[in-house]
Amino acid sequence: MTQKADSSIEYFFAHALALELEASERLYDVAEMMEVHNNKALADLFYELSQESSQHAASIKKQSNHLDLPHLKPWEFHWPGDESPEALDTHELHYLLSPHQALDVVLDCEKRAMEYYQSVARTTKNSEIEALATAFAGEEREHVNLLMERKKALGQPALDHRIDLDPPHMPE
Amino acid sequence: MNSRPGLKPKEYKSGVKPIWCPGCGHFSVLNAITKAFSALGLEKKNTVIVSGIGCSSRLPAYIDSYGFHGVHGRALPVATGLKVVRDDLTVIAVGGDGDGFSIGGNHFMHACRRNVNIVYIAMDNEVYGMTKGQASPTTPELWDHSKLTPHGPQVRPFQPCAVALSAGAGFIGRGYSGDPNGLAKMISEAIEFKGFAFIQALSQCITFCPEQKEWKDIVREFDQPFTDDSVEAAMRLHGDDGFSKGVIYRKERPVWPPEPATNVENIALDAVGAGFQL
Repeated sequence: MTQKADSSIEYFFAHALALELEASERLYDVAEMMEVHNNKALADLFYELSQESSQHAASIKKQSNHLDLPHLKPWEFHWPGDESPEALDTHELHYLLSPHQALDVVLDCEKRAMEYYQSVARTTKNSEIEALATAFAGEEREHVNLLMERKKALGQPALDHRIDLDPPHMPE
Repeated sequence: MNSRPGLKPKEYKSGVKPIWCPGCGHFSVLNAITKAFSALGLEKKNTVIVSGIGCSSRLPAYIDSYGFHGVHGRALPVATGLKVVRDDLTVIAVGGDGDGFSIGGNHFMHACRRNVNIVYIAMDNEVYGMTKGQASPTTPELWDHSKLTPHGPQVRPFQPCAVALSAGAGFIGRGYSGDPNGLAKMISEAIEFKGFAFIQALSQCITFCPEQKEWKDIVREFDQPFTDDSVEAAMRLHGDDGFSKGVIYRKERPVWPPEPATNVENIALDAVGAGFQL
């Protein structure tokens, strides 16, 4: 039986690292989906976000270099749901995804990550973990704010993004 | 607890970009397979993915192992033949609900019965996606989104797990693309199981069945762990709506082909074979 992130500093960093790596890999997958479907604007957005998560993971790795982190199988992590909280929910994707919707989906990921770290800070009995989790929650809050600014900068959503001139169902 | 350090899941990906639609559940099944390979520390050169035809059957191209993108509905015969002659390989057959339960339906039953030591992952989205959204064997009776079946197929959907159980599969599980980590665990257990292991992986098709987005609110764990009692498993399946996930049944029995007996008759047959040349 594996331990939760709030139980020891090693398990905290193992969860934090997995959270960012999963987020980065999922965003990269989505960037590739968009690229394949000739949606360059969204592909660029998701590649950029994936890169940011990857850098965040590298920084966590550096921060925990002196520790011997446990090697956990993907299903041995303790997440609030089935997946790590920052992993993008693929159910929300669509081939007609608009930039506004894309940012909403990513915002949800960042909010879930923030709430996750807040809950670790609340439940841990280890003061070092509490401080780290609070700091990480603050970083995720910054990401939320940045994404909200980015969404604001897009202006009003286009009304016709759902119109598909070549609908997927057979016409006959 | 500690997994064997080796390749990371993404290192099992081929680098070929999948052409599945954004939102397709098959991406998660692909990730679950690579996570299982990584957790088990499988070597690429000892792993083979065999498929039939359909959206999901593109999967071998996206994994950096040996692969065979075969004929429609024929993933299981190809996988069976391969495993019989190369027992040292980990052989995984993949495909969709149309490929596996309609075109390849007969092979499915006999693969369960034969009990060759392979894994079969049926990525079930209840629709023929590649041909633009027609009803498949697992489509709900009243699904009326296709103009080819304007009042729905009006046929009761095929029950993959119940059929697998009655046909003799030793490992039967139902996974979900919305839970790639749970699915990865199930796949790793199926790979380690000795015998035919069947996984029905519910995998949403957002493009042709957008209502499947709701699966994430419907799918839940079976309320009991797996059983090795086939009657008990049948009762659980009978009372289920098809949206409970988890391993349902597992019981090992002798795999096919049996170990060759070293009797006089076989030695004589070997002697005949020794002189045979192409």
